[in-house]
Amino acid sequence: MLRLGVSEQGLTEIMAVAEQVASMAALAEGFRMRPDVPQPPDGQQTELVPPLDEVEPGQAAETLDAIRQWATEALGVQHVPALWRVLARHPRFLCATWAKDRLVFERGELEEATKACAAMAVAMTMRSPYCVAYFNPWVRQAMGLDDNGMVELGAAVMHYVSVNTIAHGMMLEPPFVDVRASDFQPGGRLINSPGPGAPPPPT
Amino acid sequence: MPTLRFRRFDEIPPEDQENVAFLRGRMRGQQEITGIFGAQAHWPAYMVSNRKQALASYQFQGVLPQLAKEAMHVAVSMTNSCDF
Repeated sequence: MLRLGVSEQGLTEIMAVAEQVASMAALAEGFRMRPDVPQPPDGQQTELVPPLDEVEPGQAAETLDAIRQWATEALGVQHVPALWRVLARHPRFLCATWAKDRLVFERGELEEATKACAAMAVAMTMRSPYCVAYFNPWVRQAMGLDDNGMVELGAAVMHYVSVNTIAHGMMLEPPFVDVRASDFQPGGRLINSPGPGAPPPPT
Repeated sequence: MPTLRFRRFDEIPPEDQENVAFLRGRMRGQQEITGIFGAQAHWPAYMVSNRKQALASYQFQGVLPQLAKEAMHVAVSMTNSCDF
């Protein structure tokens, strides 16, 4: 990513996306939430902690209104996803987590579409049915993906998981440490290292 | 240090030399096949099958921009606790 012109903040934005989705998946699957995008499931929405009713007034009402508006635009649903209504039992945490969610997923140095792809990839890697259903409409809309595009995304995820498994299993050491974005720019110490966007090797 | 030692180009049997040809330029004169390819070089046919899969996925120029694919790679690797 640094070689493609992204700064240290841009890389940190992807780290933030990864940990935000990983933490959402931990809650969703830990509480055994049933996917509720695009349609809420019949019966119980979670096995452990029921979500608050959307019409219940309370300290979380303002945050839930903001989430509903986002969900309508980004997910194409008319309800507040259950994950957020479960967190609404702890309004202070809901408010802080939603604020972080917006900071992490909205456009920063990186486009929202790039972040949506990373979020979907992490949801798949975490094997989270809830998060996969949740991020599916957003990534399709943000990146403009049809079913063929989704398979391209899935194929890339398969490749990354394969490479991770090989690298971890064979205990490969990181090829780069303590790097700066400028290391990959012209004149930088890593400009000739292999990777996407690298100068062609000598023939 | 990797679990398995890396293999040198001159240790690759003649019948597999063709399978490692694409690495010679990439390794820029190194005698040892290192990194993610080095971890697969004890079975060159397998390494090539992964290479072809990479060309058809990660390096495929489809609808996803290269930056999005790089971002996905970083995010998945972080999620999988991959040091490499």
